[in-house]
Amino acid sequence: MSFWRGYRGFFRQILDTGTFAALRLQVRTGALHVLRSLSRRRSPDPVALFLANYAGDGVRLPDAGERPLALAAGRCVACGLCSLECARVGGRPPLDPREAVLAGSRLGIDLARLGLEGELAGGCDACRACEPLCPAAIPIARVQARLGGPEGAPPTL
Amino acid sequence: MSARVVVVGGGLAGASAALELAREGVEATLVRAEPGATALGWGTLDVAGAVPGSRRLRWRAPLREAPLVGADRLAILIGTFASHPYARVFGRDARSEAGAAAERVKEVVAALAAALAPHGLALEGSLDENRLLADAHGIVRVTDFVFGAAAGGNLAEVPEIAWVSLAGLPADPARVALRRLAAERAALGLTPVPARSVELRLPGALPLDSPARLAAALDRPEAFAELARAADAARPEAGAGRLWLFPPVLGLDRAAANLAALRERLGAPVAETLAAVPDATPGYRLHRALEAALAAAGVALRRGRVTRLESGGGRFRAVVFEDEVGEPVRLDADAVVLATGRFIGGGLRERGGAVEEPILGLPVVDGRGERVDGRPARASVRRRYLDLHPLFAAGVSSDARLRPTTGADASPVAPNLFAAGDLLAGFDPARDRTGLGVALVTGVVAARHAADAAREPDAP
Repeated sequence: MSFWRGYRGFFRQILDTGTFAALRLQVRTGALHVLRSLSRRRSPDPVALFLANYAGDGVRLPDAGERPLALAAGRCVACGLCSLECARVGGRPPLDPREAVLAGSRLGIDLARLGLEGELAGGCDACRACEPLCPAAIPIARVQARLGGPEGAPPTL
Repeated sequence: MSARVVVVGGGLAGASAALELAREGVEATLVRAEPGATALGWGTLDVAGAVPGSRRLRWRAPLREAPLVGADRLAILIGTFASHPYARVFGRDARSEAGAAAERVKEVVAALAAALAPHGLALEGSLDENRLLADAHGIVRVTDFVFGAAAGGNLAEVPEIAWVSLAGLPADPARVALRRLAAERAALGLTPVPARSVELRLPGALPLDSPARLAAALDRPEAFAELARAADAARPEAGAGRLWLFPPVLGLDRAAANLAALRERLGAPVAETLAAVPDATPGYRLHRALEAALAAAGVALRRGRVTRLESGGGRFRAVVFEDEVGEPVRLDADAVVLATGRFIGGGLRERGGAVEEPILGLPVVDGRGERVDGRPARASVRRRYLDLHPLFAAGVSSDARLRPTTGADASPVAPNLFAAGDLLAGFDPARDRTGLGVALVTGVVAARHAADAAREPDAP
């Protein structure tokens, strides 16, 4: 029983993802990952190795701009000072700055599951009034732009 | 030429140091990057909120068994914890010093209250009696001083409560908060009181999906009028003579005026609850009021991240910071006060498992006085979550004048460098709840010594 309990989160995740394509992707990458690690393919370039193994499954590397932003957003302490400053200066972002940063911290993960695609269109005005208030020095306007821009479209896994 | 002191840090320690320097007639410049932990507060200024490590004296102990007030807790902290910044600035002998310490704390709190009052933020309280304030979850906080709109919500005095919730605003359900409040009161040994929930329905034009947007909207008179009207209509539901406890959303810059207007209209005491972490409306108001007070006091305010201090002849001569566009700016200084905080403020940071002070690489010691810079800090963390972790009391060691000291022989790093607030080692603000109290007191003390050092550059 306890053996299966360990997998509950895994299956819950698959169910939450909701689409058969995602399910197939998860099972395929999950199963193949084991085989690939057994086959012990080697390459001097770990990035090339990753791509050779996983690009066909639709798993991609976070691009150069995405990873530092996700790391920066991951410093968020969720204090909400950005939201207060934004509200006071009359900003009208499609997504509240705190929510945007919390979503941005998962840029490399599965934004679709957060159900935010519809709300992210447009981005904020990038007035950057919120940024001096952030105790974690997160570039909030850039996170917003990343979420709202064309390349902000969520990766699938 | 008047003496120039540069204060580094955007929290209460830096602000109180800069305000004190302005009072001393010194040319004060405050350089800060972000507001730091001060702006994350739930609305109280705890001078000595709790005594850590003592079961009987914990702040949650029933009041009837241990009716300690702020002055008592301050005396115990000074007498028990020799490394505590309070012990450092007030002297260690609690019996002879505690009364004098309380008097000096009252003076600096009164000075801060006077500086903030013109900018719409009240600071009320006393070291001689406890205030019992509910937060937005219904949890009761015992405290000595409180900022602004929550000040009127002292549950030690007010018999009956009308707990206001705003329909649509994300919050704990009122019945959950009220049940929690009743349990908290019982744990504190207070008699149960009638409390009822009042739900206000505001017009859809108000942004009810976000507390931040609602608070900003209520700065507009026409939006606030809607809230006042809804509250007025709910008077029969609330009953007469009750304390109305609102969530902390009654405006940002105009919260005090809004509160006064509500009191008049409802003919009853009205207060906000304290904020529930992580909502920081009270901290944000404090930050705004501090900025206004600093500007009014004539402190030069600069935004940027300090990268280094220039020294010469055994003293620090200038502060170099990167401004908003990344250009280095150099400020001449006859003395420097570092009030850069700890891990939230950026005064300490983790690097490779060790802790370092990023501007000068000052020696960092943990709560036991052991060095944690340059070696893994794991030894300063205990296994159990609720243990006292020496790492959480880490900071720079200092002498009685709050000058950072070198690790080896405890001599000052420089005669004109001072430290204040959370950057100082020897206390864990999460455990003794002295964060803003230490910031305020050490800010003032460091500023006075810095002013002396700046005026007499050649004194030892």
